[in-house]
Amino acid sequence: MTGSAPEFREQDAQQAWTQYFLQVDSLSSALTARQRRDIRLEITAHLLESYVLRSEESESERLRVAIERLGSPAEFVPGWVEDRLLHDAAPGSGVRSLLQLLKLNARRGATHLLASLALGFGYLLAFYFFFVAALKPVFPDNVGLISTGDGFTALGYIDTPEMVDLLGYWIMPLGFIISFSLIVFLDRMLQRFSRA
Amino acid sequence: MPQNPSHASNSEAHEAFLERWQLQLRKGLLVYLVLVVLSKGESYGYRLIASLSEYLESDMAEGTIYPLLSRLQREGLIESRWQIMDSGPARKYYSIRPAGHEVLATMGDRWKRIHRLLEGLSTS
Repeated sequence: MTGSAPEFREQDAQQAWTQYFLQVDSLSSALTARQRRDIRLEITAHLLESYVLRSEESESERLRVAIERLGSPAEFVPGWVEDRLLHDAAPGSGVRSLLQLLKLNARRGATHLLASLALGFGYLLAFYFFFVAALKPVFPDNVGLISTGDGFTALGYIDTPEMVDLLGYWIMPLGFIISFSLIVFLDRMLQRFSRA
Repeated sequence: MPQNPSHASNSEAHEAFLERWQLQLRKGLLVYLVLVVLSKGESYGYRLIASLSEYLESDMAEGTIYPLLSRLQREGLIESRWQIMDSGPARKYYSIRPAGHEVLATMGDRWKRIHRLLEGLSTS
């Protein structure tokens, strides 16, 4: 795939090209390298097509008009990036993408912010259940749903003299099932919410 | 005759209101037109914009098409593929999916309903 920048004879044109793509890169930094390259390639193809069809004499003038017609990166790249995140950073595609998606939703207003916080808390809870279940074989006496002598019950790692493990090794299947179910549920909610 | 300042500011406000209204209309229309153009065959960004400018009888801010294409792809209405060219940069071709054809048909029906409604209003 040929997507490299053209070599202009005029320094002004070369500079304008470089500046334009620096802005594109900066505005698309939240995306993965592949997604950024995709956007870069499409803009390159567009600008070059527009550039070769211009009848202005100088390279810099032809490029200036092509850029003017396409618009400043600030006018269309953020919306494009937002959509790429929603499209490609689908739930289940990694923690970084998930965080980007939550951050993106949080910037869309108070309702989205609150819902993002709730979803973020939900994911933390799901990971917590997973880790408790996974750590049970490592700390069999201290990890689980544990009740202490003073009537306090907690899920996690507890180390006190008088304590009763309420679930024993049942915490493992239960923890994994709850964690998995929560993630599936939250993924669906996040997808539905992102499209709203 | 001197112009009443409040009338002048009202007229400016109305003009701004109309601008916004027209922008909303164009946005809604653009989605429909993109699907119409793609229903006639696959196309790439630059050529698609040239076709749309003919329909809209005006030049459009070319960059605005890309977030829209991305959204339509996310909605599953269109798909894309990269095509390596013998000369020049690779092109990303967009084509309409079966779901896009269905949505386009429904949109067409609704546009017709709106058109009939407007015609009915103007003749009543």
